[in-house]
Amino acid sequence: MLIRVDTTKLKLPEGRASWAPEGILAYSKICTHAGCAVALYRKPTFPVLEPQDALVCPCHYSTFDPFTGGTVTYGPAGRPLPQLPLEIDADGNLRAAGNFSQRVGPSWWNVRSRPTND
Amino acid sequence: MTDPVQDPVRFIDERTAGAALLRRGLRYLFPDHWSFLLGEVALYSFIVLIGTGIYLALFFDPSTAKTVYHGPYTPLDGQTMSAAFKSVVDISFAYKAGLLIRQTHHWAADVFVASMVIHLTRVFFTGAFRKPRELTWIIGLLMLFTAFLEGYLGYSLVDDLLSGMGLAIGYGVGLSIPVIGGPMTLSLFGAPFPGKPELWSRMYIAHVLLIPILLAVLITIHLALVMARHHTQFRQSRRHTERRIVGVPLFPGQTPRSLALVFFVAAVLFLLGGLVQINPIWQWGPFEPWLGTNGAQPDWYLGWLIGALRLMPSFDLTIGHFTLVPNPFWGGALFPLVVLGLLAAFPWIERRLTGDRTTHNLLDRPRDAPNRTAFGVAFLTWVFLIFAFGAADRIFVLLGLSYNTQLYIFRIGIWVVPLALFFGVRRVCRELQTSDRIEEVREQAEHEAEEDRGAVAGAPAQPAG
Repeated sequence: MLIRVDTTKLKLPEGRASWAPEGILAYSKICTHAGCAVALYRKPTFPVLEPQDALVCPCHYSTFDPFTGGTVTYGPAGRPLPQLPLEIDADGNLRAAGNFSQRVGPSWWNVRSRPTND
Repeated sequence: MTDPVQDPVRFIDERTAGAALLRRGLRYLFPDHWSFLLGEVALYSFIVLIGTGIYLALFFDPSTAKTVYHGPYTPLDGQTMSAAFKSVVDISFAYKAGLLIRQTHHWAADVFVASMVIHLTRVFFTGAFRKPRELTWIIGLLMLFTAFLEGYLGYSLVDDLLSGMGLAIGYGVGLSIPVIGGPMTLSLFGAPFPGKPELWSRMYIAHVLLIPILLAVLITIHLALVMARHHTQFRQSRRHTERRIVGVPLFPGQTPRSLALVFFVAAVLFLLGGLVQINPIWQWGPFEPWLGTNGAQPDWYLGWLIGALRLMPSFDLTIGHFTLVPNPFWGGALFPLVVLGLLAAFPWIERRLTGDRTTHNLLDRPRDAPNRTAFGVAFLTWVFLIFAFGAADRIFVLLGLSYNTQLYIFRIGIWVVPLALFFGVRRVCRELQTSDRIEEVREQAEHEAEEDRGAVAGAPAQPAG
């Protein structure tokens, strides 16, 4: 999924500084818990408990923070959402600059091995 | 002279020698208590499932081939969907009695599982699973868990939004089985979720042939075992003993009751199917892997699994780079296995704890076995609370109690409430036993007093008061 956020709020993990050109972020939409679509985008209704926007899976309410690289902030998911590095090429097109940060989808035995870059 | 009744009967008997067997069967004694009909409700729901299922199979198309809908339901007009989903929309709107039969099938599945669960609790709390009926108990449990799978496959086949979300979770839970989960689930699905089209053929043959046959075989063994060791009975009178069976014969006593129950169950299921909407798939729409919706709930009998998946704290168990136990395993696979395992082992656990190895044909009342009853209540409450948490998002909508608050209440409650109930229920059972004994002593005393009065030189009985 693609979302665009305020770049001043971004706190991406080390090495991902260039992954979100103009605040445009790409994450896998497949929940890392049980594989449902992370189909809900939650705006804060009560800022004390929910300080900022979140990505929420409607099946078991795993909640991910798009500003910090898809980290799990709530619910049963055991891994962050894989992030896809983006770049804007010379023609102004949005392109993937590499593979996902992690393997996509729910966890299994070998899920934490690095995805290849080919 | 030929006799239109005698002759055909004699013809058949001379060639099958079935009369003796039939006579024995017709004389089989049924215990005279309503709670023995719960299993029959399950059996008759199964018959309705087979009947309605055959009708649905005439129209259902288990194919993921994409097609564009142009049918009587105009809100979906022009929508791309799988042939499977389209055929179910057509069953609902285009074919005669299709919606009635589809909804009846769905209701029958819900009632089938519900009646099995209620039957199971009756068997548990009366100690009917004890020697010599442990195998009947095990077969019953296998049936129940097979029915969970059968129901899950049934609503997965429809390929609507809810069924796709359920299938995704099934895939995730499959993957989460330590070490072997990945290859096993991939070989079943053919490819990473949503899998290859073959998955649909596999689910279909399992849903309409393999599992129904398995269920039918299990039902047959279950009933054969019941007949072989005979029904249990309550201690309804002094005539009901461990050695003597008191009841009504299959014919003429039980037959009209069972026939009435068949028609009643079928009538209720068809009334539900005709009057109470269930799973309106045209409102959910077709599934695509990138779609999900809030407030999605499975059929009730899978609610305990969604609850367990939601209750688990966020972690995967890892060893170095390897993920030994992915999170969904706890709630989606281990939890149901623990429930099945504990229930299946219970006859042996109880025998070990009580040291009671004798044969039992007379049933306990729940109070007669305080520890068993207390454990049963605690255990069922544990499962029920986890089930209830599966609906926490609906509870939030209904009562406004935040999901987060509920999460912490339930994480503590599922342990504390059953524990408190264990001691509470055991206490109640023991008090009831005591009051029974007091009642017995009182009756005995009154009886003796009566006899004493009678012994006083044949004095006339005193008028009461």
